[in-house]
Amino acid sequence: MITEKDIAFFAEKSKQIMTELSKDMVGQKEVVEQTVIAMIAGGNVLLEGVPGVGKTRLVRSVGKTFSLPFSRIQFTPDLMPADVTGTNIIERDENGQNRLKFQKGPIFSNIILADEINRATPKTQSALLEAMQEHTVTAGGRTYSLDEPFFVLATQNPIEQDGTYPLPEAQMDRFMFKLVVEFPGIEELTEIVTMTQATMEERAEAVLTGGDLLAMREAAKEILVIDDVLNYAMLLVTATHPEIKTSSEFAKKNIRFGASPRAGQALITAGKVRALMDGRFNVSYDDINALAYPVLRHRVKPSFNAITEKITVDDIIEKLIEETSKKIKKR
Amino acid sequence: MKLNKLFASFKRKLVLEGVLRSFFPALAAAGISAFVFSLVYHILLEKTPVAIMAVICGGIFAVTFLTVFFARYFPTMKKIASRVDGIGLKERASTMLDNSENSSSMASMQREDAVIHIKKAAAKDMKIYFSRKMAVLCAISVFMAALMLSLPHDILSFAEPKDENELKQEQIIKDMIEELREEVKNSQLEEELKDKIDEIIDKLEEDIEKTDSTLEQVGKIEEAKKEISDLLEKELTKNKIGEALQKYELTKALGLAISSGDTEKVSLVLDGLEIMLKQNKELVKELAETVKKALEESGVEAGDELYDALYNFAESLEKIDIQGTEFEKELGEIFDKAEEEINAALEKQKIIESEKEKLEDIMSGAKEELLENKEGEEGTPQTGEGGKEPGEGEEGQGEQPGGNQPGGDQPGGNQPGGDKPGGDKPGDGEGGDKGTDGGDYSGEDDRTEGIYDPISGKVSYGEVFAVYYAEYLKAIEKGNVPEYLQEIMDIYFAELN
Repeated sequence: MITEKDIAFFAEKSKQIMTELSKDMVGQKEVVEQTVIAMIAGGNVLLEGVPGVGKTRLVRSVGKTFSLPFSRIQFTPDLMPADVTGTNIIERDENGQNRLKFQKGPIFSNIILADEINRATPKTQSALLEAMQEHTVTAGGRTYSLDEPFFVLATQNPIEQDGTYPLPEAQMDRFMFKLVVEFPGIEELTEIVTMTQATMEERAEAVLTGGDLLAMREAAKEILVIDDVLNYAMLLVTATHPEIKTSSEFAKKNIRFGASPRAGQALITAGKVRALMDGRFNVSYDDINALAYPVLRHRVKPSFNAITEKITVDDIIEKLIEETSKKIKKR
Repeated sequence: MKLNKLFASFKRKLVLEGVLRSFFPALAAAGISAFVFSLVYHILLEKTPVAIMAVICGGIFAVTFLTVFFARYFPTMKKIASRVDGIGLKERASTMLDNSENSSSMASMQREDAVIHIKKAAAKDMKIYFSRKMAVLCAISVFMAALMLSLPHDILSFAEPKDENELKQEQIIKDMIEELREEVKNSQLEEELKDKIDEIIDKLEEDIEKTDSTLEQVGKIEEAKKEISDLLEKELTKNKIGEALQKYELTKALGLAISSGDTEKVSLVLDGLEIMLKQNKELVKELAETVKKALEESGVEAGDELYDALYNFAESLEKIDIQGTEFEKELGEIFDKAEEEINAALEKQKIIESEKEKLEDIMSGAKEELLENKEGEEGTPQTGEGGKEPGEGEEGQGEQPGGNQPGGDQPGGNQPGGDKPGGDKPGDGEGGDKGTDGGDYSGEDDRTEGIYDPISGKVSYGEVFAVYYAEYLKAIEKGNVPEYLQEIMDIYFAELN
């Protein structure tokens, strides 16, 4: 049963996390906040941005802040699944006998930075998928559990798409959020350059443990969601499906296919965390609206019409929020 | 903390908003109803009964207001919570309301947090919303209703606008009707009589409204006048009874006095009869029998006040003991009582006679005015309007009854003297003049005005008859038609009609 002490602990820790991360990240407040939300909620994050905007730095800072073991996997086209999960190797024991021993791969960590995930082959990508979804690794016929908490923070470059293997929709769906790390503004850029002249090392310090994180996750699960807000979230998800009769003309025209039920789960789970970080004990419409972008961005596929008319996914999400809000007001 | 108390100020604001948002559609509905109501009456060319309309539209307003308010805008707890959340509480209030029965620690903490924030929030931060479209619709409907009400009730009439004479004609009739009603209302007639006369007046009003023809209207007035006269004449039993009594020597003087309606004369005659009976006791029974016989012959029925007074008088005389010692005393009492009753009856009949004259005067006056107005409408006669002048060889006119001027053909030229009704009519020899006087009212003008169809060359029968009948009526008023002929003439015209 959650107590006020748990709530106070949550509030204190989330504040500390944000403070520590802001030491290494200039600007990008929303990205940082949403990354933290995803981690507390137990979801994986896909970070997209041009090189040098701080994606890796963010992940490394997160690893330091949470004082959790951190692994970085640089995905390349020649990366094999075994390079990720580990493999059996032959080893001579004390008796001089040869035996097989499983050598754990870099995935056996708490925080995984999967850098440029779209550069690896689908086979290697799928190895990561099992870990992301099941928090287990199967190798040599044996299944190995991964330590909790376990997160995958993957990155991908929106340019240099030649020779890459775009993540299929099924795999994209396993990321709770897709966050776009924008190029910083001139002031932020100035600050970044100034800051990194002194040192390139992350200055964030550990403020909580994995156990703390799990405790925060449990606390967030208790946050209340009223039926109206829940219904709103589900309406938003169904609004992304053009094949449904009740979908709007806009959706029918500009969406090829919509979000899976995982989107609904993500909205509510992340919404609870966001509410608690905001000092509330209930999820609000604002929480759903704010989280709609990272949750739906990678799950909604725009149609050819949207592409030709240069309607971005974020534009589509904005329009769907507007239409769904009007629908609930009319009720 | 109880929710009602917590939300009290917000609820008040939402009630105010609900009232405002219900007011506009209710007013719009009432405005539209008033517009439609008034439009219907305009189509019917009737004046809009404003009082009835106000009641109906007021009812529509009230029903619409209450229905809209309670069905749509009544602030339930959920609505209040939702609106409170809208001022920055981020669904705290709604969550608190939804979990009011939830006893978990999270729900308790949430409630505490919600209460703190609700208390910090102010009702003044809650905006009042109302539909501008509805406000505009409301304004338009009220404006349209006011416009429709302000228009004359005959604005939609396709008839030509009425000229001065037509308006005067309407006014004459309206004044006559009002005067008749007022006279009846203020009279001392019995209620039953008043009601009957009122019915005749109502019918007259209805009949007059159905026609624009002056002559037909005059005819209707004459009919009504006759009806009222006959009605009141029936009550004037003194004439019949008086005439019957005059046939007998013994009661002749009494009959004359009663016929005259002069109560003093009656008293004198009765005194004379009393003295005579005192001196000639044997005549008591004869007098009683004579009175009874005369009453029977008069045709008046029992129940009439005068009849009953005389009958009681006769009965009392029959019962008196001629040989008794109290004969003179009893006789005196009988005569006193008879005098009282007979004179009371005569007084009432005087009132009826007076009212009859007054009503007849009103109606006659109105007829005169109408006919004068019609003459005035025709303006200068024979002014070459469309070749309608007489003697221009138009066939239709040659066939008009005006070719035989009513005055000239009336027996008024041969009126015997002294038989003129009411004794007020002009004497002999004037009838002939009157015959030509009838020609002063040039029937030709009437014939040419509005009745001649230049295409067929014919004149409508109704119009011809009206002219003919009107001339007859005028002749009666001028005393050109002897009484004994009037009945025959009435039958004649009735058959023509």
